[in-house]
Amino acid sequence: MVTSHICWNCKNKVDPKNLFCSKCNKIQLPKTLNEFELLGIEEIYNLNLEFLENRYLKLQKMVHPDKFSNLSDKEIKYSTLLSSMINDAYQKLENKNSRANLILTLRGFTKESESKSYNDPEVLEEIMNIQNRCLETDSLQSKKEILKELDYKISNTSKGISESFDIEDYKNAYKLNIKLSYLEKIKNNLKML
Amino acid sequence: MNLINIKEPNLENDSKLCIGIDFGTTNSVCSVKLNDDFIYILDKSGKELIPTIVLYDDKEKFFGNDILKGKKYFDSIFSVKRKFTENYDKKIYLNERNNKISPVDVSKDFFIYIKKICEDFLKQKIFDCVITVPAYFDEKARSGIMKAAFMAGFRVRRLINEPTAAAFAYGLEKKKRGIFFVYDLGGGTFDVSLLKLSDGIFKVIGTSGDPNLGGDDFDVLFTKWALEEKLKIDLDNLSEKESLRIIKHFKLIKEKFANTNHISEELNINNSSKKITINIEEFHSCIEPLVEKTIQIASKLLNEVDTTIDEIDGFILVGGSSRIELISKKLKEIFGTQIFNDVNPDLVVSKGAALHGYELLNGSKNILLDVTPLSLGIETMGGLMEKIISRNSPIPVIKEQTFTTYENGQTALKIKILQGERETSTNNRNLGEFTLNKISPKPAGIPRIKVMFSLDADGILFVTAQDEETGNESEISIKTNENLDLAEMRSIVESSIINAKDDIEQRMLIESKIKAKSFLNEIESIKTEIKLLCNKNDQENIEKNIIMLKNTIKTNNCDMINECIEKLNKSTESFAQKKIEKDFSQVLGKGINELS
Repeated sequence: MVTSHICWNCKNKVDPKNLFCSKCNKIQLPKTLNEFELLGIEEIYNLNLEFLENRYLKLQKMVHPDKFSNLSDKEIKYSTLLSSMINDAYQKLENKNSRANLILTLRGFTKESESKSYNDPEVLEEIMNIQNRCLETDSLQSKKEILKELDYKISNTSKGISESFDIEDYKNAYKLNIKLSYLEKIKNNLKML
Repeated sequence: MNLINIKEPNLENDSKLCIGIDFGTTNSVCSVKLNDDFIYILDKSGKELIPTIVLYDDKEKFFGNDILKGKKYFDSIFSVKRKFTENYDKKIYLNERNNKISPVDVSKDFFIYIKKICEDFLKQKIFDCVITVPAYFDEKARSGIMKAAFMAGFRVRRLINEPTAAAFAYGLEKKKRGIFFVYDLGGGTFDVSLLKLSDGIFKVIGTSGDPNLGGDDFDVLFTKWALEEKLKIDLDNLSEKESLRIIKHFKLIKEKFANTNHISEELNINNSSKKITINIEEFHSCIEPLVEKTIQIASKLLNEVDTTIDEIDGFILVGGSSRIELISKKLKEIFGTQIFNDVNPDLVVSKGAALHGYELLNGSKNILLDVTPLSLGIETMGGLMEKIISRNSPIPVIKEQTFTTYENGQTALKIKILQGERETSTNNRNLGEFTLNKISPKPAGIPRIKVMFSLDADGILFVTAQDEETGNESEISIKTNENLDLAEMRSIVESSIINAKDDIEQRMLIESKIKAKSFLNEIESIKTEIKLLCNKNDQENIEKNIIMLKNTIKTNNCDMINECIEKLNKSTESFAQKKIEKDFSQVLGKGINELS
């Protein structure tokens, strides 16, 4: 349910999805928008990253404090806050892992309703296995091979998450997302080696 | 969502002036955009490069090129900017009146000097500026630079990162689009930044560097090597002044290698003349480890932000020290990409700041979307750092963290804020502590206090907290007893610019107000102790003087403010005496009267 809010400047009613007052053009501070709404994109897992980035840059071009430096303190404050919120939302949506977590939260799935520890022995073994191989890797060649394998696993897991979202199996999406976070972590550590 | 176009703010016929200041370790440069012209500001001697040196001598102060020819050159303070990554409030220098002063004070004097240069050159008053800082500077170093500029009477419109400024000037001037890697080796700092330049947006993808690696380090390494290898002299055995003089000589030799392959010079060491010959191969092999170090930092950044070499359209070389031939040779060798050195590496940073400053004051066509170079976090149990904002996050940024109590009935929480990439908190920079007070007493773990950590577009930290239950919002600033936060300082500068008749009056007013507010903060923090130690009469007297000082600040009368500070100081004397006695007795276990 969307309730309109009142423009701080001209007291006009503003659609909370608008970042600027339609009457006086002043910047607004929407408090009730989630990350998807803030960036004005559909709440789906399979995002087109290029589209997301374009959207993000377009918004920053309008709200970034660089555009407000000469205006009132209040407008500077609002633009800083709005720009911060958009930066934060973009970071969360750009990353598959946090994007899945966001959708889970928005759909009412909470971690507390599931056991916090991950106890699928098969997956644990798979993770441990690849982690150990990363620790033992000594040549550039083997590092490249493991990275390739990791990328394959990551894309497969991500596909699984997407399918789980399609059939609204949030429990499975949650489990696969934990696996994905492990894989991403291993990949990052290996890359910086 | 409906997007509404907003008008360019405040487009007027007369543009307002905003100076772009590159406050460098070795040299500083000021420039300005006036409507359609862009100019570098020249000092009295007609030079663009102003050496960042200050000399306090015999009741007078000297700066920049005025010192260069003088006999006392080697008594000057060099590379003060490097002190900003340490404790910059520590009073380690002596000024012309033999008072102990800090790196911030020295920088303040230098900023006053360049403000004067700008005003003389442009024949009008100057308040606004954009200052560049090394991208890898932490929050504390940024605040320090900002403080120094505020105290000099500048209204700092933005701090921007040096490589970002360079890319901004470069992108606008050459109309370039694409992904560029800025390699910025200055006198004291090294930065690398990867930027994506598109229409109207200069977006930093990632940044890295070393705030303590620059041309200065090349000079020291080169001098050490040459003295030891060629003359069997240990640089560390020379007096401080003598070694400084010789290092400056080798800096000149280093610069000569840009045009020659072989150098033969007379050196004067400890009053005896010595001949030294060095060829370029020797020089290169000597400095190679430092060049390697910069290249490692660059490669690591590319890895970290998942960018491959073929995605990059070119390297932009910035900073005077990037002129060393070996650097472009090595970069070409390792990255195999185009190197752009068609901009003046000494001046381009200031130009970027001036162009951005012009847009900030006269309507922005372009935005700079920068990132934070270091992760920000808090200290958790066991002295570890928990990250809240990770490095290379775009700024401005805001993150929430909820805190709770760990003891029943606990009403206050102390939180330590850190910046850096290390696991343990002691290895990271401590930005300060703050206390959450007035938590309603509840069983452990029940209170929920939401703390918002935000870095603004300058990379400056602000913290606010809210008790989720009561909705009570409290602005908390991180400060030690005597330090003011930047928001307070900014407002002092704002009010003084409006009220002061001339420069000197303005600065004196700023100084008095800062002193007054710092003093009030200090008293506020020891109020409970005052109640404990002082009798009612003294307490009332102190309270009266506090109110008086607070009211006088508003009057903008410098003399009156100073007078009230003095009065308040006097009224706290008896407290100070009692405090000393108490501290003594705590240490010795008996009263001071029994000591004799």
